[in-house]
Formats: sequence, C-alpha cells, structure tokens
Amino acid sequence: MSFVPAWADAFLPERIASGPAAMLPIDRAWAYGDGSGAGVRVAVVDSGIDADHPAIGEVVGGAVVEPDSDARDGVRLVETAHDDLYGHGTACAAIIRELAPDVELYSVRVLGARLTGRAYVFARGLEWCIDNGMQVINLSLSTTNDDWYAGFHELCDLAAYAGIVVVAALNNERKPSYPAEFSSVLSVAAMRGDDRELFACNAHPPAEWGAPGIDVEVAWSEGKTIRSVGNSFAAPVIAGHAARIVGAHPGITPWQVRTILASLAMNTS
Amino acid sequence: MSPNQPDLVRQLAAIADDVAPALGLPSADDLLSAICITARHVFAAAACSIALLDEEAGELVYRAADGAGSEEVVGLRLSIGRGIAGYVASSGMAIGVDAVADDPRFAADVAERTGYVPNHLLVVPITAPTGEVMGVLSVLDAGSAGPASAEALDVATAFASQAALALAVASSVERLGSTLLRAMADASRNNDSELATALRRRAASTRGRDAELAALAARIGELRRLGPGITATAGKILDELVAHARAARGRRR
Repeated sequence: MSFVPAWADAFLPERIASGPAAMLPIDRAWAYGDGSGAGVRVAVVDSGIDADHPAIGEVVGGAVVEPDSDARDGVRLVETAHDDLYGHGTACAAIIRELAPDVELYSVRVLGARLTGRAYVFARGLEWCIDNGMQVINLSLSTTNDDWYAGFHELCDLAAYAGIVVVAALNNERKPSYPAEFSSVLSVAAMRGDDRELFACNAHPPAEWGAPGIDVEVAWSEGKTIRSVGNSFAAPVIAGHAARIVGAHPGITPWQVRTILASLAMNTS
Repeated sequence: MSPNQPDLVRQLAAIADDVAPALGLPSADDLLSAICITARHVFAAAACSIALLDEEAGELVYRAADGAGSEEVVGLRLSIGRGIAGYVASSGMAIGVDAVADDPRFAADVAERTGYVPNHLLVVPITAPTGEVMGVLSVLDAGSAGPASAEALDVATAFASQAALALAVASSVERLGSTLLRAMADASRNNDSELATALRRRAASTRGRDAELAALAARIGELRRLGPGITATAGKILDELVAHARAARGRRR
C-alpha cells in the first residue's frame, strides 16, 4: 500500500488546482533549447551520490559536511569524493540526470552523520553551494523545526539574489516546513504519474509545484532501483526542468525560471 | 527554619508517598508498545515498531514493536548512518518503499536479523513539538483493510505524534521525584540544617535512585548555606557532572 505525502493533495487528479491565469507565449522548444542542461552546475544536498550507479554518470565534485565539536563553528566541511549512505541522494541525482543529461552534478552530503547540530550542517552545505557557483540546488530535505527558520530564510534569500534556483521538497508532514515554504524557493510536492516530463503549478502555494513522486521507480544504493513514495522524489523533477532552462538561457534569474516553468506546467498549457 | 517549614516538608513527603503508587504510571516502553499494537491493528499491518534516537551513540534503538519479528527487533541497535529508518531519522522526511527486500541495505540491517522481510514499508519521523527528530515509527506491510492511501501518512504521523507525547510525559514523570526533592532543598536554603538532616535520614532509610536523590538534595541544601559564590560554583560542577552522567548512560545503552 502506498501513501500520499502531505501537500500532495493539491495535485490529486480530482483536486488539481489551476495554474496561473496569465498565459505567456512560451513553448518547450524555446524554454529548454536542446534540453540537455549542458554545463549547468547542479548540487544535490542530501545523503551523497553513488557515482558508480549506472543512472548517475559523473559526479564532478562536492563536499561532506559533518558536526565537529573542535571546529570554531561546530561544523567540518571537507571537499572530497564520497559515497551515498542511504541511496536517497542517488535517487534524486538520477532523476535530474534523466531530465537534463549533460548537467555537472555536485554532491553535498549533509545527512547521516551524528544528528547533533544538524541544522548547522545543513546550513553549511547550502552555504557551500552558494559560495561555489552552483546554479541549481536540489534540497529534498526540509524540517518542521522552527529553530531553522531564520538561518535558512537568510541563506535562501542570498541564493536567490545570487541567481541560484533553489528547489526544495515540502516535508511529508502537514506542518510549515523550512526552507520549502519560503518564496525564494521553488517548493515541490508529489503527484501521481510516472512521466517526469509532466509537472503542475499551483497558483496557491505553499505547494507551488507538483511532480511525480508517488510509487515511482528511483535509483538506489548498490546499483539498484526501488519503488518509493515521497515529496523528496518530486523536487528533483523540478530541479531537472529548471536545469534545462538555465542551460538554454545563461544568466537567467530564478524569478524568470519560475515564470517559464509556470508557462510549461501541465495545468497551465 | 521558619516554624511552618517542617510541616511543609512533611506534607510534601506524605503527598509523594501517597501519590506515587496511586498513579502507577506506565513506563515509556509500555506506552510505546501500546502505540505499536494500536497502529498495527489500524493499519492491518504485519508489524509496527518504534525506534528512538541515541544521539551520543549515533544509533536508533528499537524500543517497542508488535507483530512479525517483534521479539527480535526490540533492543536492536541500528546506526543512523544506514538503512531506511536511518535516513528518516537523519532527514526528518517520511518515506514509503515497495519491494523492500530489493533494498540490500535494509535486508542486511534489519530484515535478516528479525527474520521478517516486508514487501512494503512506511517510515515516519517521531518529532518533538519543537520539531527535533526523536525517533521513527515503521509500519510493515500495511493491509488493504487499513487507512486509504491518501490518509495513511496522516494516520501514521498521528501515531508518531502520540509517541512523542508519551515520551514527553514519561520523561516528566521520571524527573518528578528529583524535582520534588530539589524543591525541598530550595525550601531549606535559609540556614536550614534540620531539613538537610531530615533528607540525609531519608536517604539512609530508602534505597536506589530515591536515596541518591535524597542524599544529593541534602547536600545541595547544605551548600546553599555557604553563600551565593560557593553555591554558584557548586551548581556549575553539578551541571558538568549531570552532563557527564548522561553521556555515560547513553554509551551504556
């Protein structure tokens, strides 16, 4: 038996919200160019990426962030190759690779170490992405912990002003979750279906984007695939589409990417 | 000591003696176990389990379970750096997985050790009201007689919230005795040698944790007569000791 994640109900077939009312003359060919996302730097902030998985291809770089009580800010960041502790980061990266095959993938591992101070670990990972020129950041992570609100709000604003498209999965619980709720971030919930070319736009967020994430095949550890459910798997669909747009229109801002995506959404066009 | 303080202390002691057995409060594990049993029935599932975080050890400790493999799973420790439950604890994100047997990490970590390999697994975080992840609740092979898929996550999350509340209540009750004794020690701070003596006598006549707490409270009561500077220093030392004891207890679990 599967389940429907919180916020996904906005995209159930019988309840799907209508997209933006204003139509713009934007088509897929213009929006995506060759659709490869060539050269676009995409970071997956998660549990690591298994570069040996057949669905991944190359992982260009990245970092591991862990709590470190000896470090001045309580966090240690090492730019080093690493594996995926769970398989979840690999699942997200493979979805992005499927949609935008020529992106440059970066893995920022923030999960799996000791949980003490994990808000700082997550924040430091996001900071690394901003400082290292990432153009699209996938965060299939979010928290309902209010302590994270201010720090993430500031970082997501910084990212947006730096021209970075930040895509975040809403928490699977029906509570405010950060950073997905911020308007500087493209917030994503799961919808039914397995065609990742299709996604929906909800003109009444917090669940702004809907993409396949219910009973979907995803890559997992040790070269496997599994069927799984979670808003986590919907976010990289939107990140993949965003990477195509960024690849076709260098210098584009996150606000413009949002406008283009809204024009291409299945419930708009 | 003011004339009414011995009466106050006697009353407090009498209340503590009367109330503690009358409450007969269940332990945290009893509460978690009841939640697992209810959740398993509601989901018509093969099994349901609750694992709590041991942050010091970086592990999830299975504290309660009902259904297939439950005897084997209780007490099992799992690194938070591995497995589907580890992912949920680490990320705070719920996840549902089909054909779990195909996930080699899951099979190696839990299923092999419990002898039950589910086809489907739903794992939700148990979060404190502040949003901190305290553990995970897992539902194995929910049946068609359970909640419809659109409600399944909400129902599982409701059980996880119940577990979080049960843990909060159990933890408060656990601290009740020490809180009471600290209050008595506070009452004794005005040159109150009689109360400190009484607490020491109580420590001598009781056993186990209560005796330790009574003795500690008596010493705190004495320290406070020595002036604010020494009291503050002693307080700091006690804080350090408590932190050290907690860490040691975490390692022993």
